[in-house]
Amino acid sequence: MYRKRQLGHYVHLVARDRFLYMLALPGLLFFALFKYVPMWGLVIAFQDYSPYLGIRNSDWVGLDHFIRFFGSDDFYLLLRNTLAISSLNLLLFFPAPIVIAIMLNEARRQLFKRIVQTVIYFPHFLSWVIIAGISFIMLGQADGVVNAILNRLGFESVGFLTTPEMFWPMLIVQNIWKDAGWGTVIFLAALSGIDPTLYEAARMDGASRLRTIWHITLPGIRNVIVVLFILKLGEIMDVGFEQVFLMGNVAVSSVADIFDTYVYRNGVLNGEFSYTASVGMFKSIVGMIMVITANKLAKWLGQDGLY
Amino acid sequence: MQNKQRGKFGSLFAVLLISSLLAACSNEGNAGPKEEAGGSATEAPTPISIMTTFYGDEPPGPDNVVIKEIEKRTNTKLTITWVSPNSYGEKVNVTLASGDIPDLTLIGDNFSASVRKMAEQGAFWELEPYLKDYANLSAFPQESWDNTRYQDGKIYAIPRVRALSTGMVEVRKDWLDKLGLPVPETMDDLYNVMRAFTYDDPDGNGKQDTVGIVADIASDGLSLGTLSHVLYAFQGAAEGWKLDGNGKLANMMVDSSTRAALEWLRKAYGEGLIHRDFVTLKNSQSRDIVMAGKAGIAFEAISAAWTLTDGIRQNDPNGDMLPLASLTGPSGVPYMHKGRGYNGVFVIPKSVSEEKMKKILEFMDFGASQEGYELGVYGFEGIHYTKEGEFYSQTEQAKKDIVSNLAMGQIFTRFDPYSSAFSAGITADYYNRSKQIVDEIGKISTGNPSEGLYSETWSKYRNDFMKKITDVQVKVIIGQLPLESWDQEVQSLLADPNWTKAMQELNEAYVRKNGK
Repeated sequence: MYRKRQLGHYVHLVARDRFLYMLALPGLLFFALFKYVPMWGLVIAFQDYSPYLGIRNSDWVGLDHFIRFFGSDDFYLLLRNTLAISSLNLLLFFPAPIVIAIMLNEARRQLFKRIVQTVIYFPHFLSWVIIAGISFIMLGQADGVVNAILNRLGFESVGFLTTPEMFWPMLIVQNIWKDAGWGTVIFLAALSGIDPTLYEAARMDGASRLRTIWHITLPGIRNVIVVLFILKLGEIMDVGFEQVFLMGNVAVSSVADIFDTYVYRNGVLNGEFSYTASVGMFKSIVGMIMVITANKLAKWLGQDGLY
Repeated sequence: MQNKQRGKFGSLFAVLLISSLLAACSNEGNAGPKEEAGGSATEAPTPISIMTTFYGDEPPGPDNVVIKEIEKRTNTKLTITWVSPNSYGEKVNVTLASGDIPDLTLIGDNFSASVRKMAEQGAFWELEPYLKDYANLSAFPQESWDNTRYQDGKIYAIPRVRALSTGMVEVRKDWLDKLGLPVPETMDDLYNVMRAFTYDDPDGNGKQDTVGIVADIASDGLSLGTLSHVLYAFQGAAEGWKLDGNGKLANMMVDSSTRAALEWLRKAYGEGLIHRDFVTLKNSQSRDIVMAGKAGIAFEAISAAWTLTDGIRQNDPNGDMLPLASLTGPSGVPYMHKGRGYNGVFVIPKSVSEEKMKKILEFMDFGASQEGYELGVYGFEGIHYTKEGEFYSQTEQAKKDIVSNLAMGQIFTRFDPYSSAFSAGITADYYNRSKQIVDEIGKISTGNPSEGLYSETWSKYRNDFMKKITDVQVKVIIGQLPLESWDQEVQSLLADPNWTKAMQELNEAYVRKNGK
């Protein structure tokens, strides 16, 4: 009886806000059609999928592909590289926009602030292909600009692009150069939401600039930082295929092979669709677990979380 | 309280912004070939959808004069999807995976595991029983046809036939003459030439800005790319496969000659004789470096020799890349690579009816005829080309109408032992010299004995093996690893049961194919 009334209540609510629900409909359809329907394709991870036979007629192989993947030496290499690049990104790239946003927030002259913003936003709009091209021109050993300068100063040429130890730092520097500026947009938006009276009050009480940053600015944007951090954790297995693929080469492949390049090589180039589908699925599941865990953790720490 | 509200709003805004960015990134274009029936002649033209590649700046459009004429003469309606060679492999795999395969599809790597499997499952028409009816297709060398056979011994594809003499290396002849050096014959000669090209200022500009070799690693990271030819010259083995003294098929990667080749390359790189960035260069970039006159030796097929020479001549009218007929490694036997007789194959999917499949064969047979090939590749006499003896001079109009072996020549192929010597815009002198070199190559070149052999184990682990091999080789060459690392790699290969099993299976397949 109670249930029925509750259902009727829902129907009533939906009927009342029908226009709002209609507004949401295209978005829901988008997710259903382009995100959920294609998920059925994941069944090929458990098949020996052949395009000619199709999903219906391909043989089922159970967990064979997963067993092969987890059993191979590649797995540990890929996991190590992916996690290392992600962690370095979280550690060094993630805080960069926050720091820049706070610095911009403290800038007094509006004109200066605007100019700096424009300049640091710009690299975001360059594609990775162009950034890779610029990097090759700058860092090449034969005619690279940086090596030419080193030579002038009497140093030996450095194989920036072919030395495994330099590969990860190079990725992080490229990331910061490209997207640290653009990343400030969200934080600046959040900063503008902080009540200015708080600053005035703090100044009246004689707080220094660093103190106001620590006690007002940072707590003011804490929610945004947490949300973005959770989202980033969800992407821990996605370290940017394009960038790694374009910058990678045979000499650094031991540190440059990540899940995405592996999937590309074996799936797209070599046609092992089923095997790479299982690799992709593993990646997604880890990403999902990371988001859920991080969200729980955020709530446990008394933050708002994502949902 | 109010602060908290704002915080929420801020996070909501962030989520919205991010999700809209993500949505923007996931939009993808989708353009597939569409068949259109048209015409109402006595017999309706057969619609044929084709997927192939093209070289050059842009592909011919559907209204191209020559394609219109071909349609008229073959009574077909062509829908051609031209794909850039840079992404052709990917495009083929994706197209095959979609199951929506054009009626005539060019496949570059016809022995990749996925294509093998599809052939085995009967995805393509078996063509051998029909071929006798098509005189021009039957005129392809038997070797070219045989090399397309799958593990079941059947022919499922039309080879994009190529001359067997493909050549492998070119040297700047004008630089040799200037420095008073003879044409190199052995790998030691080549080393001296490389040193002279690097340190003796062959371009005479007073600056040390040239190197011996420029090369590039295969983009899939599974071989040394153009530098592989150095290994093969040392091994004296095409593609690294050879019959050993007992008539057994051997992969020469584990042979001591490979070590000698790596030592040679490592020393050359250490002395600056190889372009410092070869690891990161793409093939087009390394060609640009040759054409800019910054490197004097390129490991490229003879078909690229004119392109390189033409490029050099834009700045240096005396520039001349001379294709070598052979290189002699430490074994003392001159080595030259012999091609498999084709470069990629065309398949016809089983979804096409038998009647239409025959039409398609007819169409390809026309393309392999003197008349059809000439029309497709050279266009109309007087408008697109003039002919003197066997030599075609193409006009500006040919470039304008994109009539070339770079376009229609990627569909129509005709066997010509000298086809590799010809390129669009080539001069008669250069062509005749290359023809002679092709003759010399024909006398000594050796093919890859493992061609077309199938081993399940090899098929499965080949990429893993080749990737590890290439990784170590590159690191040894650029000095990141000592030469001993290569010895260890060889030991680990020999100790790998999958390697042993693959070699055994390939040997069995070899015996089965060649009878005892």
